[in-house]
Amino acid sequence: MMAALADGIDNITVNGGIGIAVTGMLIVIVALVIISIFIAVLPRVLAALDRLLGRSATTHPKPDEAAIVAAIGAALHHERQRGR
Amino acid sequence: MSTMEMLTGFLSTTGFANLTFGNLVMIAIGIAFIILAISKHYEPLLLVPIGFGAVVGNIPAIASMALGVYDPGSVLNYIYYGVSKGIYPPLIFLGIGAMTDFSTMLSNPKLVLLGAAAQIGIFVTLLGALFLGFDAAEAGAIGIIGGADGPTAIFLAAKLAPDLLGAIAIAAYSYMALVPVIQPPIMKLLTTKKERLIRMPVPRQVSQREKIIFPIAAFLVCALIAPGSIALIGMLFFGNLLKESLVTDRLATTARTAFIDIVTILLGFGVGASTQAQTFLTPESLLIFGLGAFSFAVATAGGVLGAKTMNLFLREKINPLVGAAGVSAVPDSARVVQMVGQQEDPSNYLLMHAMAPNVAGVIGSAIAAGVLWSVLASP
Repeated sequence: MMAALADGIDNITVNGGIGIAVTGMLIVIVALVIISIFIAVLPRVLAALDRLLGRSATTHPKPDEAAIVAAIGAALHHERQRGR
Repeated sequence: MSTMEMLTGFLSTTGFANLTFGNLVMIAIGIAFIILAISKHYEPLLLVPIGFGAVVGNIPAIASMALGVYDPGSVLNYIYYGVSKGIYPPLIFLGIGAMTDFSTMLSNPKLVLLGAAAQIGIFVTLLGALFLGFDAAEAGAIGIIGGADGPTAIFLAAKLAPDLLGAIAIAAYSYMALVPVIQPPIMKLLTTKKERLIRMPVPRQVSQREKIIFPIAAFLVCALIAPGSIALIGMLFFGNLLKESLVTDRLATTARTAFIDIVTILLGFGVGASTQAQTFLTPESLLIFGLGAFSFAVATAGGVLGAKTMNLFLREKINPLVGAAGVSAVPDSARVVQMVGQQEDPSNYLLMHAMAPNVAGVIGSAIAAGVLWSVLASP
């Protein structure tokens, strides 16, 4: 039992297990922390960029012209029906 | 040659004559997977192809014919080529990217850290595998099961320990299917009722520009830090850019529907067919299954404890259950968070919050795979 335990710990040491585990975990954390910071900063950078370029901060989706025409047509039709 | 000799010769080549007890066990396991998928709905899109592949792969091949998955030139061997060379996993990631909405993550960046915390399962399991006598490359491939990401596990196993690929793939997908069984007890054990009742504010609206910039920037960060992850991460973010750019709808739709389905069929069937009893039913496979369960448990605990640690410093508290979704296993572990949260408070909706560490976990496990590949691959 003790021999198996010693062998196991020995295998971890020989293969540099602790170093691989600690380094690997650190790299994953660093990468995700950088991504997290980037995500946090991104809206502010975009807002600052918009101010700098004199654009509106909110981007509106391109209006659906067919839908607008249909809505105007429906409203006109409704209005004429009422007028009769 | 007489008719009798011909008949005797033919009978000696039939599956009945060459079937071993191990083949029968593997065929039974394959059928059990199919039954679980159909009757219990456990990951049916994966378990049906894997289960049927296991049945096919365990029919003894005729020695003089190229039939088996490991026989060069056989049809099964060509299908398995995409598994053994790690081709299918990045293609699956393309589809995953095209169906993933990173909005919840972009609206609450601190939850990304939970995707990192849960990756501790990978590295603790690596130590466990080394302790049990596996060599460093094998231990790295086994450890990645803790990433709870089937394609990533297959990708790394193909690169670091091809001999263990079948066992690692089956363990990874089996435990992914068992997420609703493995995670809840650990989540409840490590949290108080008060913590499970924590409500989190509704995430902010994310602009389309942020969604477009994110996959490009995040790819650059990940790839420059861990170049080993470029195949997985590159395809994931490429798929996501196809979705979010709004100008490649056709490509995004194909990637997240027909394309990913085709690759899933080939991957699942190929992995299943590779589980021939002679290579699969070994003491190592049993150890891998044990380590796989351990890695899922550690990863879940890592995510929950990571959230609790963050709460020590945050004014606006995180529900620690959300940390369990950091193991990736998209979207099953996020659903488990929702389920466990609603057992305490049916009006508390944690799903959208859990999706943030869930997708961060996918990124985290792919980075971990890249790091392990670059550190452990033989020169």
